[in-house]
Amino acid sequence: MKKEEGASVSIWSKAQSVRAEWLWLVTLVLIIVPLAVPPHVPFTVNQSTLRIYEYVKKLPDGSVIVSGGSGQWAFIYETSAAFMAFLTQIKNKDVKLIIFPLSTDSLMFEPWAVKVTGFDKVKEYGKDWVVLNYVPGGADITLPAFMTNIRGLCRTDVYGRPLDELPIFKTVNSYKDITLWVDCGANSIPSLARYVAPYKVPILGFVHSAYYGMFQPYIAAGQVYEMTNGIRGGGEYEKLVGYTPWNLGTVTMDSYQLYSIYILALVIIANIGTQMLKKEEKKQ
Amino acid sequence: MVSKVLYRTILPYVIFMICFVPVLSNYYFDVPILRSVETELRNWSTLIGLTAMFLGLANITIYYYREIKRRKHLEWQFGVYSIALTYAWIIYGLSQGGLTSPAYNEIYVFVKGHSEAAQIGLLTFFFVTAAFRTFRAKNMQALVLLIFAFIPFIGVAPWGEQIWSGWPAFSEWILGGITMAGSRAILIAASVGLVAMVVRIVLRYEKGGLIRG
Repeated sequence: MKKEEGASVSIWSKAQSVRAEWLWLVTLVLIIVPLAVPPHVPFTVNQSTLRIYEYVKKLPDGSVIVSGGSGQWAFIYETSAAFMAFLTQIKNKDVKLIIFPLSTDSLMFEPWAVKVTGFDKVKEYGKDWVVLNYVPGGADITLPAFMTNIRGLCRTDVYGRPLDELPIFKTVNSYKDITLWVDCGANSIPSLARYVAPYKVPILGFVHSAYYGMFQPYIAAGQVYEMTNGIRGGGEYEKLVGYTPWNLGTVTMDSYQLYSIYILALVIIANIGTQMLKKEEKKQ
Repeated sequence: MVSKVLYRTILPYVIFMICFVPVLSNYYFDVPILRSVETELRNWSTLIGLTAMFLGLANITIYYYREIKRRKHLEWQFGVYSIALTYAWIIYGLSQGGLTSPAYNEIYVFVKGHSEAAQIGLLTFFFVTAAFRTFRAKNMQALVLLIFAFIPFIGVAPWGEQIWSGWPAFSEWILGGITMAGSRAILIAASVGLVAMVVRIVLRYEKGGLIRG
Protein backbone atom coordinates (compact mmCIF):
# COMPACT_ATOMS: atom_id res chain seq x y z
CA MET A 1 0.00 0.00 0.00
CA LYS A 2 2.81 2.34 1.00
CA LYS A 3 4.65 1.51 -2.20
CA GLU A 4 1.58 2.46 -4.28
CA GLU A 5 1.23 5.81 -2.49
CA GLY A 6 4.88 6.56 -3.07
CA ALA A 7 4.52 5.76 -6.76
CA SER A 8 1.52 8.07 -7.16
CA VAL A 9 3.35 10.90 -5.43
CA SER A 10 6.36 10.46 -7.66
CA ILE A 11 4.11 10.77 -10.72
CA TRP A 12 2.82 14.14 -9.43
CA SER A 13 6.34 15.18 -8.61
CA LYS A 14 7.47 14.26 -12.13
CA ALA A 15 4.51 16.10 -13.63
CA GLN A 16 5.57 19.26 -11.82
CA SER A 17 8.98 19.23 -13.43
CA VAL A 18 7.93 18.42 -16.99
CA ARG A 19 9.99 20.36 -19.53
CA ALA A 20 8.40 23.42 -21.11
CA GLU A 21 9.34 22.19 -24.59
CA TRP A 22 6.94 19.23 -24.27
CA LEU A 23 4.13 21.53 -23.25
CA TRP A 24 4.88 23.76 -26.23
CA LEU A 25 4.95 20.81 -28.61
CA VAL A 26 1.46 19.74 -27.53
CA THR A 27 0.32 23.37 -27.90
CA LEU A 28 1.67 23.49 -31.44
CA VAL A 29 -0.18 20.28 -32.36
CA LEU A 30 -3.40 21.55 -30.80
CA ILE A 31 -3.17 24.76 -32.80
CA ILE A 32 -2.10 23.27 -36.14
CA VAL A 33 -4.46 20.26 -36.31
CA PRO A 34 -7.71 22.29 -36.21
CA LEU A 35 -6.25 24.69 -38.77
CA ALA A 36 -5.52 21.79 -41.12
CA VAL A 37 -8.76 19.89 -40.42
CA PRO A 38 -11.25 22.50 -39.18
CA PRO A 39 -14.02 20.88 -37.12
CA HIS A 40 -16.10 24.11 -37.22
CA VAL A 41 -17.27 23.99 -33.65
CA PRO A 42 -20.73 25.51 -33.11
CA PHE A 43 -21.06 28.66 -31.01
CA THR A 44 -23.84 31.12 -30.34
CA VAL A 45 -23.76 34.83 -31.14
CA ASN A 46 -23.33 37.22 -28.25
CA GLN A 47 -25.75 40.13 -27.76
CA SER A 48 -22.93 42.68 -28.20
CA THR A 49 -21.98 41.35 -31.63
CA LEU A 50 -25.63 41.09 -32.61
CA ARG A 51 -26.21 44.74 -31.67
CA ILE A 52 -23.25 45.80 -33.83
CA TYR A 53 -24.52 43.76 -36.76
CA GLU A 54 -28.04 45.19 -36.44
CA TYR A 55 -26.72 48.74 -36.07
CA VAL A 56 -24.60 48.50 -39.21
CA LYS A 57 -27.49 46.82 -41.07
CA LYS A 58 -29.77 49.77 -40.29
CA LEU A 59 -27.28 52.45 -41.36
CA PRO A 60 -29.04 54.84 -43.77
CA ASP A 61 -27.85 55.20 -47.36
CA GLY A 62 -25.06 57.70 -47.82
CA SER A 63 -23.71 57.20 -44.30
CA VAL A 64 -20.13 58.27 -43.73
CA ILE A 65 -18.08 55.85 -41.64
CA VAL A 66 -14.67 56.76 -40.26
CA SER A 67 -12.39 53.87 -39.47
CA GLY A 68 -10.02 55.49 -37.04
CA GLY A 69 -8.05 53.35 -34.70
CA SER A 70 -4.62 51.96 -34.08
CA GLY A 71 -4.97 48.53 -35.66
CA GLN A 72 -1.79 46.58 -35.24
CA TRP A 73 -0.34 43.58 -37.00
CA ALA A 74 0.55 42.01 -33.70
CA PHE A 75 -3.14 41.50 -32.95
CA ILE A 76 -4.18 40.59 -36.45
CA TYR A 77 -5.94 37.38 -35.41
CA GLU A 78 -7.52 39.03 -32.44
CA THR A 79 -9.15 42.18 -33.79
CA SER A 80 -9.05 42.06 -37.57
CA ALA A 81 -11.53 39.17 -37.82
CA ALA A 82 -14.33 41.47 -36.66
CA PHE A 83 -13.00 44.39 -38.70
CA MET A 84 -12.98 42.27 -41.86
CA ALA A 85 -16.49 41.02 -41.13
CA PHE A 86 -17.54 44.65 -40.73
CA LEU A 87 -15.98 45.58 -44.08
CA THR A 88 -17.71 42.59 -45.67
CA GLN A 89 -21.04 43.76 -44.26
CA ILE A 90 -20.69 47.35 -45.48
CA LYS A 91 -19.18 46.65 -48.88
CA ASN A 92 -22.59 46.06 -50.46
CA LYS A 93 -24.21 49.01 -48.70
CA ASP A 94 -24.39 52.56 -49.93
CA VAL A 95 -21.93 53.95 -47.42
CA LYS A 96 -18.66 55.86 -47.59
CA LEU A 97 -15.54 54.86 -45.70
CA ILE A 98 -12.80 57.23 -44.54
CA ILE A 99 -9.72 55.56 -43.10
CA PHE A 100 -8.01 57.82 -40.61
CA PRO A 101 -5.12 55.87 -39.07
CA LEU A 102 -4.07 56.68 -35.52
CA SER A 103 -0.80 54.76 -35.74
CA THR A 104 1.81 54.03 -38.39
CA ASP A 105 0.86 50.34 -38.34
CA SER A 106 -2.78 51.20 -38.86
CA LEU A 107 -1.88 53.14 -41.99
CA MET A 108 -0.74 49.86 -43.56
CA PHE A 109 -3.14 47.53 -41.82
CA GLU A 110 -6.48 49.12 -42.68
CA PRO A 111 -5.92 49.44 -46.47
CA TRP A 112 -4.65 45.84 -46.39
CA ALA A 113 -7.89 44.68 -44.73
CA VAL A 114 -9.85 46.64 -47.35
CA LYS A 115 -8.01 44.77 -50.10
CA VAL A 116 -8.36 41.34 -48.47
CA THR A 117 -12.13 41.73 -48.10
CA GLY A 118 -12.50 42.94 -51.69
CA PHE A 119 -14.00 46.22 -50.52
CA ASP A 120 -11.84 48.08 -53.04
CA LYS A 121 -13.22 45.94 -55.88
CA VAL A 122 -16.81 47.05 -55.40
CA LYS A 123 -16.14 50.61 -54.21
CA GLU A 124 -14.40 53.41 -56.04
CA TYR A 125 -11.39 55.02 -54.40
CA GLY A 126 -11.83 58.73 -53.80
CA LYS A 127 -15.60 58.55 -54.23
CA ASP A 128 -16.65 55.76 -51.85
CA TRP A 129 -13.56 55.27 -49.75
CA VAL A 130 -10.33 57.03 -49.01
CA VAL A 131 -7.20 56.58 -46.93
CA LEU A 132 -5.90 59.61 -45.09
CA ASN A 133 -2.34 59.98 -43.94
CA TYR A 134 -1.06 59.21 -40.48
CA VAL A 135 -0.61 62.49 -38.62
CA PRO A 136 2.04 62.43 -35.91
CA GLY A 137 1.30 63.88 -32.50
CA GLY A 138 -0.93 61.19 -31.05
CA ALA A 139 -4.70 60.82 -30.80
CA ASP A 140 -4.94 63.59 -28.18
CA ILE A 141 -3.80 66.10 -30.77
CA THR A 142 -5.13 64.71 -34.02
CA LEU A 143 -8.63 63.61 -33.00
CA PRO A 144 -9.94 67.02 -31.79
CA ALA A 145 -8.50 68.66 -34.90
CA PHE A 146 -10.02 65.99 -37.14
CA MET A 147 -13.46 66.31 -35.59
CA THR A 148 -13.67 70.07 -36.06
CA ASN A 149 -11.92 70.50 -39.39
CA ILE A 150 -10.77 67.51 -41.45
CA ARG A 151 -9.22 69.64 -44.18
CA GLY A 152 -7.35 71.70 -41.60
CA LEU A 153 -5.61 68.57 -40.33
CA CYS A 154 -5.19 66.54 -43.52
CA ARG A 155 -4.47 68.49 -46.66
CA THR A 156 -4.03 65.41 -48.86
CA ASP A 157 -4.83 61.70 -48.83
CA VAL A 158 -2.11 59.13 -48.27
CA TYR A 159 -1.14 59.19 -51.96
CA GLY A 160 -0.71 62.97 -51.99
CA ARG A 161 -3.99 63.92 -53.72
CA PRO A 162 -5.50 67.11 -52.29
CA LEU A 163 -8.76 66.46 -50.42
CA ASP A 164 -10.57 69.05 -52.55
CA GLU A 165 -9.97 66.85 -55.60
CA LEU A 166 -11.58 63.80 -53.97
CA PRO A 167 -15.37 63.57 -54.51
CA ILE A 168 -15.94 61.98 -51.08
CA PHE A 169 -14.88 65.23 -49.39
CA LYS A 170 -17.41 67.38 -51.24
CA THR A 171 -19.87 66.69 -48.44
CA VAL A 172 -17.58 65.72 -45.57
CA ASN A 173 -15.91 68.45 -43.54
CA SER A 174 -16.28 67.76 -39.85
CA TYR A 175 -17.99 65.64 -37.18
CA LYS A 176 -21.39 66.89 -38.43
CA ASP A 177 -20.97 64.74 -41.54
CA ILE A 178 -19.80 61.57 -39.78
CA THR A 179 -22.45 58.90 -39.14
CA LEU A 180 -20.34 56.26 -37.43
CA TRP A 181 -16.84 55.78 -36.06
CA VAL A 182 -15.23 52.35 -35.89
CA ASP A 183 -12.09 51.38 -34.02
CA CYS A 184 -10.34 48.54 -35.79
CA GLY A 185 -7.55 48.41 -33.27
CA ALA A 186 -6.68 47.21 -29.88
CA ASN A 187 -6.57 50.21 -27.61
CA SER A 188 -8.00 53.41 -29.08
CA ILE A 189 -11.33 53.35 -27.23
CA PRO A 190 -10.30 55.72 -24.36
CA SER A 191 -9.12 58.37 -26.85
CA LEU A 192 -12.27 57.98 -28.93
CA ALA A 193 -14.47 58.25 -25.85
CA ARG A 194 -12.66 61.46 -24.94
CA TYR A 195 -12.61 63.21 -28.32
CA VAL A 196 -15.23 61.59 -30.57
CA ALA A 197 -18.05 60.70 -28.18
CA PRO A 198 -18.68 64.34 -27.07
CA TYR A 199 -19.76 65.11 -30.65
CA LYS A 200 -22.45 62.41 -30.37
CA VAL A 201 -20.86 60.28 -33.08
CA PRO A 202 -21.63 56.60 -32.31
CA ILE A 203 -18.54 54.43 -31.80
CA LEU A 204 -18.16 50.71 -32.50
CA GLY A 205 -15.03 48.92 -31.30
CA PHE A 206 -13.40 45.69 -32.45
CA VAL A 207 -11.23 45.22 -29.42
CA HIS A 208 -8.75 42.79 -28.00
CA SER A 209 -10.16 40.34 -25.42
CA ALA A 210 -7.82 41.70 -22.78
CA TYR A 211 -9.35 45.17 -23.18
CA TYR A 212 -12.96 44.03 -23.48
CA GLY A 213 -13.57 44.01 -19.75
CA MET A 214 -11.46 47.10 -19.19
CA PHE A 215 -13.43 49.18 -21.71
CA GLN A 216 -16.89 48.17 -20.46
CA PRO A 217 -17.36 51.45 -18.50
CA TYR A 218 -17.39 53.36 -21.79
CA ILE A 219 -20.38 51.34 -23.00
CA ALA A 220 -22.19 51.76 -19.68
CA ALA A 221 -21.57 55.52 -19.86
CA GLY A 222 -23.01 55.64 -23.39
CA GLN A 223 -19.75 56.89 -24.89
CA VAL A 224 -19.23 53.72 -26.95
CA TYR A 225 -22.20 52.02 -28.61
CA GLU A 226 -20.82 48.46 -28.57
CA MET A 227 -17.68 46.34 -28.84
CA THR A 228 -16.82 42.84 -30.06
CA ASN A 229 -14.81 40.55 -27.82
CA GLY A 230 -11.55 39.52 -29.53
CA ILE A 231 -11.48 36.35 -31.61
CA ARG A 232 -14.82 35.16 -30.33
CA GLY A 233 -16.47 38.44 -31.34
CA GLY A 234 -14.81 38.17 -34.75
CA GLY A 235 -16.06 34.61 -35.20
CA GLU A 236 -19.58 35.65 -34.21
CA TYR A 237 -19.55 38.58 -36.62
CA GLU A 238 -18.34 36.30 -39.42
CA LYS A 239 -21.19 33.95 -38.64
CA LEU A 240 -23.68 36.81 -38.98
CA VAL A 241 -22.14 38.17 -42.16
CA GLY A 242 -21.92 34.71 -43.71
CA TYR A 243 -18.43 34.59 -45.08
CA THR A 244 -15.30 36.70 -45.10
CA PRO A 245 -12.31 35.86 -47.30
CA TRP A 246 -10.12 34.52 -44.52
CA ASN A 247 -12.70 33.62 -41.87
CA LEU A 248 -10.01 34.39 -39.30
CA GLY A 249 -12.32 34.31 -36.29
CA THR A 250 -14.03 31.02 -37.13
CA VAL A 251 -10.75 29.28 -37.95
CA THR A 252 -9.07 30.56 -34.81
CA MET A 253 -12.05 29.55 -32.67
CA ASP A 254 -11.44 25.92 -33.64
CA SER A 255 -7.90 26.13 -32.31
CA TYR A 256 -9.02 28.10 -29.27
CA GLN A 257 -11.47 25.34 -28.42
CA LEU A 258 -8.68 22.78 -27.93
CA TYR A 259 -6.22 25.31 -26.54
CA SER A 260 -8.59 26.41 -23.77
CA ILE A 261 -9.31 22.79 -22.77
CA TYR A 262 -5.57 22.15 -22.69
CA ILE A 263 -4.89 25.19 -20.50
CA LEU A 264 -7.65 24.22 -18.10
CA ALA A 265 -6.36 20.63 -17.92
CA LEU A 266 -2.83 21.91 -17.20
CA VAL A 267 -4.04 24.18 -14.42
CA ILE A 268 -6.06 21.36 -12.84
CA ILE A 269 -3.13 18.92 -13.07
CA ALA A 270 -0.73 21.51 -11.66
CA ASN A 271 -3.05 22.31 -8.74
CA ILE A 272 -3.73 18.65 -7.90
CA GLY A 273 0.02 18.07 -8.09
CA THR A 274 0.69 20.91 -5.67
CA GLN A 275 -1.84 19.53 -3.17
CA MET A 276 -0.43 16.02 -3.46
CA LEU A 277 3.10 17.26 -2.88
CA LYS A 278 1.90 19.27 0.11
CA LYS A 279 0.32 16.13 1.50
CA GLU A 280 3.57 14.25 0.99
CA GLU A 281 5.56 16.97 2.74
CA LYS A 282 3.16 16.87 5.70
CA LYS A 283 3.54 13.09 5.98
CA GLN A 284 7.30 13.36 5.97
CA MET B 1 22.37 83.23 -12.42
CA VAL B 2 19.42 85.36 -13.61
CA SER B 3 19.59 83.86 -17.09
CA LYS B 4 19.71 80.34 -15.59
CA VAL B 5 16.51 80.97 -13.64
CA LEU B 6 14.92 82.61 -16.66
CA TYR B 7 15.71 79.72 -19.02
CA ARG B 8 15.17 76.85 -16.65
CA THR B 9 12.25 78.02 -14.56
CA ILE B 10 10.37 81.04 -15.84
CA LEU B 11 10.44 80.46 -19.60
CA PRO B 12 9.14 76.83 -19.56
CA TYR B 13 6.37 77.89 -17.19
CA VAL B 14 5.37 80.85 -19.37
CA ILE B 15 5.29 78.64 -22.49
CA PHE B 16 3.23 76.08 -20.59
CA MET B 17 0.69 78.71 -19.50
CA ILE B 18 0.47 80.23 -22.99
CA CYS B 19 -0.49 76.78 -24.31
CA PHE B 20 -2.55 75.64 -21.35
CA VAL B 21 -4.89 78.63 -20.85
CA PRO B 22 -6.34 78.88 -24.41
CA VAL B 23 -6.80 75.09 -24.74
CA LEU B 24 -8.55 74.79 -21.39
CA SER B 25 -10.63 77.94 -21.84
CA ASN B 26 -11.76 76.86 -25.29
CA TYR B 27 -13.23 73.72 -23.74
CA TYR B 28 -15.50 75.77 -21.47
CA PHE B 29 -16.13 79.00 -23.43
CA ASP B 30 -17.10 79.48 -27.06
CA VAL B 31 -14.92 82.45 -27.98
CA PRO B 32 -13.79 82.61 -31.65
CA ILE B 33 -10.30 83.93 -30.87
CA LEU B 34 -9.70 81.20 -28.30
CA ARG B 35 -10.79 78.61 -30.85
CA SER B 36 -8.38 79.86 -33.48
CA VAL B 37 -5.51 80.01 -30.95
CA GLU B 38 -6.29 76.47 -29.84
CA THR B 39 -6.41 75.22 -33.45
CA GLU B 40 -3.07 76.90 -34.14
CA LEU B 41 -1.52 75.32 -31.06
CA ARG B 42 -2.78 71.89 -32.08
CA ASN B 43 -1.25 72.36 -35.54
CA TRP B 44 2.02 73.22 -33.87
CA SER B 45 1.76 70.05 -31.81
CA THR B 46 1.51 68.05 -35.02
CA LEU B 47 4.65 69.76 -36.28
CA ILE B 48 6.39 69.00 -33.00
CA GLY B 49 5.31 65.36 -33.43
CA LEU B 50 6.89 65.31 -36.88
CA THR B 51 10.08 66.88 -35.56
CA ALA B 52 10.13 64.31 -32.76
CA MET B 53 10.14 61.52 -35.38
CA PHE B 54 13.26 62.99 -36.97
CA LEU B 55 14.81 63.48 -33.56
CA GLY B 56 14.05 59.84 -32.79
CA LEU B 57 15.81 58.77 -35.96
CA ALA B 58 18.81 60.95 -35.14
CA ASN B 59 18.79 59.65 -31.59
CA ILE B 60 18.89 55.94 -32.47
CA THR B 61 21.54 56.63 -35.09
CA ILE B 62 23.78 58.42 -32.58
CA TYR B 63 23.10 55.82 -29.88
CA TYR B 64 23.92 52.81 -32.04
CA TYR B 65 26.86 54.58 -33.68
CA ARG B 66 28.40 55.04 -30.21
CA GLU B 67 27.62 51.44 -29.28
CA ILE B 68 29.22 50.13 -32.47
CA LYS B 69 32.27 52.36 -32.00
CA ARG B 70 32.79 51.24 -28.40
CA ARG B 71 31.88 47.58 -28.91
CA LYS B 72 31.62 47.34 -25.17
CA HIS B 73 28.36 45.42 -25.08
CA LEU B 74 27.24 42.56 -27.24
CA GLU B 75 24.34 44.68 -28.50
CA TRP B 76 26.59 46.46 -30.98
CA GLN B 77 25.78 43.73 -33.51
CA PHE B 78 22.10 44.53 -33.16
CA GLY B 79 23.05 48.18 -33.61
CA VAL B 80 24.55 47.41 -37.03
CA TYR B 81 21.43 45.44 -37.93
CA SER B 82 19.12 48.16 -36.70
CA ILE B 83 20.86 51.03 -38.47
CA ALA B 84 21.26 49.10 -41.72
CA LEU B 85 17.61 48.07 -41.73
CA THR B 86 16.29 51.53 -40.82
CA TYR B 87 18.21 53.35 -43.53
CA ALA B 88 17.67 50.63 -46.14
CA TRP B 89 13.94 50.91 -45.45
CA ILE B 90 13.97 54.72 -45.74
CA ILE B 91 16.06 54.77 -48.93
CA TYR B 92 13.98 52.02 -50.54
CA GLY B 93 10.71 53.72 -49.58
CA LEU B 94 11.80 57.10 -50.91
CA SER B 95 13.15 55.65 -54.16
CA GLN B 96 10.03 53.55 -54.81
CA GLY B 97 7.47 56.24 -54.06
CA GLY B 98 6.58 55.15 -50.53
CA LEU B 99 3.02 53.98 -49.99
CA THR B 100 2.15 54.18 -53.67
CA SER B 101 4.58 51.32 -54.33
CA PRO B 102 2.97 47.84 -54.09
CA ALA B 103 6.41 46.29 -53.38
CA TYR B 104 6.98 48.62 -50.44
CA ASN B 105 3.57 47.69 -49.02
CA GLU B 106 4.13 43.97 -49.55
CA ILE B 107 7.49 44.11 -47.78
CA TYR B 108 5.89 45.90 -44.85
CA VAL B 109 3.06 43.37 -44.60
CA PHE B 110 5.12 40.23 -45.06
CA VAL B 111 8.24 41.22 -43.14
CA LYS B 112 7.35 43.71 -40.45
CA GLY B 113 3.69 42.79 -40.06
CA HIS B 114 4.12 39.05 -39.87
CA SER B 115 7.23 39.26 -37.67
CA GLU B 116 5.24 41.34 -35.21
CA ALA B 117 2.32 38.89 -35.28
CA ALA B 118 4.73 35.96 -34.79
CA GLN B 119 6.36 37.70 -31.86
CA ILE B 120 3.02 38.17 -30.11
CA GLY B 121 2.07 34.62 -31.11
CA LEU B 122 4.91 33.35 -28.95
CA LEU B 123 2.89 34.45 -25.95
CA THR B 124 0.55 31.54 -26.67
CA PHE B 125 3.34 29.18 -25.69
CA PHE B 126 4.52 31.21 -22.73
CA PHE B 127 0.97 31.33 -21.46
CA VAL B 128 0.89 27.52 -21.46
CA THR B 129 4.04 27.36 -19.35
CA ALA B 130 2.77 30.10 -17.05
CA ALA B 131 -0.58 28.34 -16.64
CA PHE B 132 1.21 25.17 -15.58
CA ARG B 133 3.89 26.69 -13.39
CA THR B 134 2.21 29.65 -11.71
CA PHE B 135 -1.60 29.29 -11.66
CA ARG B 136 -1.57 27.62 -8.27
CA ALA B 137 -4.33 28.04 -5.71
CA LYS B 138 -2.07 28.19 -2.67
CA ASN B 139 -4.61 30.05 -0.54
CA MET B 140 -8.26 31.12 -0.66
CA GLN B 141 -7.55 34.47 -2.41
CA ALA B 142 -5.57 32.74 -5.14
CA LEU B 143 -8.39 30.22 -5.60
CA VAL B 144 -11.00 32.97 -6.01
CA LEU B 145 -8.74 34.78 -8.49
CA LEU B 146 -8.22 31.57 -10.44
CA ILE B 147 -11.94 30.84 -10.63
CA PHE B 148 -12.78 34.37 -11.78
CA ALA B 149 -10.01 34.29 -14.36
CA PHE B 150 -11.36 31.09 -15.85
CA ILE B 151 -15.01 32.12 -16.09
CA PRO B 152 -14.44 34.56 -19.02
CA PHE B 153 -11.72 32.28 -20.41
CA ILE B 154 -14.19 29.38 -20.70
CA GLY B 155 -17.01 31.78 -21.64
CA VAL B 156 -15.18 32.63 -24.85
CA ALA B 157 -14.54 28.95 -25.73
CA PRO B 158 -17.36 27.21 -27.63
CA TRP B 159 -17.25 24.18 -25.31
CA GLY B 160 -18.17 26.44 -22.40
CA GLU B 161 -21.68 26.90 -23.72
CA GLN B 162 -21.91 23.20 -24.63
CA ILE B 163 -21.61 22.22 -20.97
CA TRP B 164 -23.84 25.07 -19.78
CA SER B 165 -25.81 27.29 -22.15
CA GLY B 166 -25.73 30.19 -19.72
CA TRP B 167 -21.94 30.33 -19.59
CA PRO B 168 -21.39 33.09 -22.21
CA ALA B 169 -24.05 35.26 -20.54
CA PHE B 170 -22.51 34.60 -17.12
CA SER B 171 -19.09 35.50 -18.48
CA GLU B 172 -20.53 38.71 -19.99
CA TRP B 173 -22.04 39.55 -16.63
CA ILE B 174 -18.64 39.12 -14.95
CA LEU B 175 -17.00 41.40 -17.54
CA GLY B 176 -19.84 43.92 -17.81
CA GLY B 177 -20.65 43.98 -14.10
CA ILE B 178 -17.92 43.01 -11.66
CA THR B 179 -14.95 43.83 -13.90
CA MET B 180 -16.59 47.06 -15.02
CA ALA B 181 -16.95 48.23 -11.42
CA GLY B 182 -13.21 47.72 -10.89
CA SER B 183 -12.27 49.31 -14.22
CA ARG B 184 -14.52 52.28 -13.51
CA ALA B 185 -12.89 52.84 -10.13
CA ILE B 186 -9.43 52.73 -11.72
CA LEU B 187 -10.45 55.12 -14.53
CA ILE B 188 -12.07 57.63 -12.20
CA ALA B 189 -9.14 57.53 -9.78
CA ALA B 190 -6.66 58.00 -12.65
CA SER B 191 -8.67 60.94 -14.02
CA VAL B 192 -8.88 62.64 -10.63
CA GLY B 193 -5.15 62.06 -10.25
CA LEU B 194 -4.56 63.68 -13.63
CA VAL B 195 -6.59 66.76 -12.66
CA ALA B 196 -4.67 66.98 -9.40
CA MET B 197 -1.39 66.75 -11.31
CA VAL B 198 -2.43 69.58 -13.66
CA VAL B 199 -3.42 71.77 -10.70
CA ARG B 200 -0.03 71.06 -9.10
CA ILE B 201 1.77 72.03 -12.32
CA VAL B 202 -0.27 75.24 -12.68
CA LEU B 203 0.42 76.20 -9.07
CA ARG B 204 4.10 75.32 -9.55
CA TYR B 205 4.14 72.63 -6.89
CA GLU B 206 5.25 70.06 -9.41
CA LYS B 207 8.95 70.40 -10.06
CA GLY B 208 9.41 67.74 -12.70
CA GLY B 209 10.49 68.39 -16.27
CA LEU B 210 8.89 71.83 -16.37
CA ILE B 211 10.81 73.59 -13.62
CA ARG B 212 14.45 72.84 -13.04
CA GLY B 213 17.23 74.22 -10.97
